[in-house]
Amino acid sequence: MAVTTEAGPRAVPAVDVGSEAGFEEFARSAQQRLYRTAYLLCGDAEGARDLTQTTLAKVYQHWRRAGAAEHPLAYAKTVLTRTFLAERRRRLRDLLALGRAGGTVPEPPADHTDLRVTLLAALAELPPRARAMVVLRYWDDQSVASVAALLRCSEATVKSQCSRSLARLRTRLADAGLSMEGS
Amino acid sequence: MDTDENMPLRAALERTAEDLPPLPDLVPLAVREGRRRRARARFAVVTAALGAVTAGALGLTLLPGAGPAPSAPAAPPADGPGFEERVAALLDEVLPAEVTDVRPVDIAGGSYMLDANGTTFRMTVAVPTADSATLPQCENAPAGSSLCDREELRLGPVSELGGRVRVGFLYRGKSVTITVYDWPGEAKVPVEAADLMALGREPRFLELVRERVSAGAQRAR
Repeated sequence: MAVTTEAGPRAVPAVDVGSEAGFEEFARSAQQRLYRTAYLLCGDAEGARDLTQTTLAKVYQHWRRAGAAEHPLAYAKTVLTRTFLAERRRRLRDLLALGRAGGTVPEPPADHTDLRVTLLAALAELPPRARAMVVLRYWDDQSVASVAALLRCSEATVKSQCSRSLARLRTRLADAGLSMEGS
Repeated sequence: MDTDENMPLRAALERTAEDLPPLPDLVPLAVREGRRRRARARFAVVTAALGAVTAGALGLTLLPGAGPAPSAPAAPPADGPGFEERVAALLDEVLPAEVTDVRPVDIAGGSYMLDANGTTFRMTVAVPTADSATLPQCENAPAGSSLCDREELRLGPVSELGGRVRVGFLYRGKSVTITVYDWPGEAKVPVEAADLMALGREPRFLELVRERVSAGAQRAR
């Protein structure tokens, strides 16, 4: 699609903001990226798929607003992160109700020489908000201010939490004989 | 944003995410779920609006010396989704996941098109109005009759024959019928009678039937 302006014809994205076709185009281009972020948050592919689908459904529900946003992908990532945290809070409440709190962190496999497995296990040991901070900050390249706004906390909290989380991850990987630096 | 110190972590996270199994296209399922979410939100708005109007009417009735209360509207506000749109949204939510879209095609006739597995099927949801015929066995039934005068959808005839699935219900002596056809006869109907029977147990469907019947009654006055 092209529109003619005073400066002459210029190409514009074919996305029709607010339309279903526009949403589908956005979702197809974003789903893989969202899926990978979800995987790092959830730690398993099945959970990541469900989280990605729920996120896209929520974005669809508010597509008129989301599609008009300056960065629809950032909007979707906010939805994804908040959905993840809400789901974890709900799960924790259920576990507390059943008197089984504390059983949510999966034990790493006995033979955890693989960086991927160990890193996922180490991430899973972090509280959900701290895990979200690490993923958003170090995988998603978001600024401290952006992470703080997304998680509705102060920048100082993001900095201190990330620092503590990084130290834990390094220790955990070192215990497994792995190093982020060398692997 | 990456500092030298954090680059290894980013690289490790990157490698971890790379090993993911391939993702199937989630867009059709997300669209379907998104539509359901929208429909639920609209239902909530309409229900709240009706509740507020009804509460207002009741309040007027209870005030000392108040005149006759205006009857609560049986239909949603004019700018809300219409009856067929709400039926379609409910069907979209209740029918099996293979059904990816339900849309009304004939506003007056209760006809819908239903997409599943890449094929379009035809569906009718015949909901009576006050003017609709009462079943013969209910014509002279006493008030409060368990068969003919109950605020519920009683299961009626069920058939799964020749590529057509039909389930009937009885509401206050009138017939409610839901049918899915294999039109144009190219694929198996994506729902079973049990799926349509589940609709009869859905309180929101009962509410829609009640709304349609009482709207007809208001017009008849």
